[in-house]
Amino acid sequence: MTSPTLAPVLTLVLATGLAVVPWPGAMGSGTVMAALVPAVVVHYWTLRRQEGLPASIAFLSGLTVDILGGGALGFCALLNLVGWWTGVGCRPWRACFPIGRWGLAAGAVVLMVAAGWLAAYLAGAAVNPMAELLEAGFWTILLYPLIVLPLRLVEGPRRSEAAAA
Amino acid sequence: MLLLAAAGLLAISRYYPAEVADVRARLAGPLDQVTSLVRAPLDPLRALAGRLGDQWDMEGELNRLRAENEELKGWQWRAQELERQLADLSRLTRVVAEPGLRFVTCRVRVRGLRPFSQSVLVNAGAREGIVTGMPVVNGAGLLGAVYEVGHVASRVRFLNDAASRVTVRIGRGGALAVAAGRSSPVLEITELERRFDIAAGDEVLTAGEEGGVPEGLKVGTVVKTSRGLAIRPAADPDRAEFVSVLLQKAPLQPGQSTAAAADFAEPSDHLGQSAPDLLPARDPPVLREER
Repeated sequence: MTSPTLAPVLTLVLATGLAVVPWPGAMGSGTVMAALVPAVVVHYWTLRRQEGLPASIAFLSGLTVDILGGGALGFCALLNLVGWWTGVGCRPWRACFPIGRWGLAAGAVVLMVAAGWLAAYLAGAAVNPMAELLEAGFWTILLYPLIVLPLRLVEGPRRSEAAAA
Repeated sequence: MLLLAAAGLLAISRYYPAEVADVRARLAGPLDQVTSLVRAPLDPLRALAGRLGDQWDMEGELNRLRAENEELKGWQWRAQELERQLADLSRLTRVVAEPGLRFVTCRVRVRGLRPFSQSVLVNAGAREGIVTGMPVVNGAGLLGAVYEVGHVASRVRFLNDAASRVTVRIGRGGALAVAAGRSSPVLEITELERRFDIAAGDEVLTAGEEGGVPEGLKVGTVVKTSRGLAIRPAADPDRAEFVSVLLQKAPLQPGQSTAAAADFAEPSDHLGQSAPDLLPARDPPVLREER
């Protein structure tokens, strides 16, 4: 199994790869959602183990997606930082039930969507991305349990219980 | 501090887009090679997703292909007849054979990041003779053009990108117009010649531009939308896995001399002999010549 201390970084690296893979038939909000997945992974780990995932790693992961994806530099880096910041900010409530953590993640995704729209506006995106961002945010919230299922498996039950305690 | 850095990068991207594109083009190739190690375990998942999607579409696709096959059978004899006539006329007039199109076929490595661009990163670059502005096609028709070139990778902007413009001819009358991308599945028809009427179902082909997109490449079909007539591209960018970059002479850039442009005109002789030796072992781009 993956070393518990390296798990946050390794899973984020994998999520970054996932975000740039050209999935067949992925279109519109699907590609935006791919950019949100690493930010959700960042949120997940910082909520549980802030020390395991420095903000600089989250920033670099986002910058990698920006460079490979051909978008404005700093867009995904900002999304990941929002994920990191909301994860740290929500730590006092991390012991709540899974449904509560889902709610925390939903709030984080809403902030990511808002930050994404603002960033696209600041960077002078050619089109208004709000509709795609909202759709991608909706699907990310809905599929959150599936997205974080592999992270739960990597984290292991003991770590989950310890975090909950 | 990092938030400020991200905001600073966004501002730089807005006010210095050319410099940012240059940096991105230089970094994208090496970064793609590094991250391909991470993405390798995801390839089986991706293949599975592709197969599931194909299965999902299979019935509709089968019906469409049957109808298309029937239609093509009707055209086949006509094409053969025309081919015979053309050969006879060419012999009579001693027409010099046109040079074949040379192209590099390469694999789509990374999908572009929306909402900024409708683009992909492909695994062929300046090393294969690609320069900015070269048209990109697949089996279905014109996909777009190269707009960032690194040493081993290039970025292709699709027709439906908001910055894309291509001069086209529509219908049997050959009405000249410009097909403009609007970040939507269809292309807007602009600058249409007023003396022509066009209708849904009309075929749209490239009109050809000096030193740029060649004439006669299929762009799509005119369709009716809620906003009026538009063009639905023949080539679906969301399903493009392999694309071909036509090694056309690059369009002249402001300040560039014709001699410099001529350097790009025949990059293929060198490539035709040595390109396979230069290609990476993984997902190599393929150099072909079509006659």
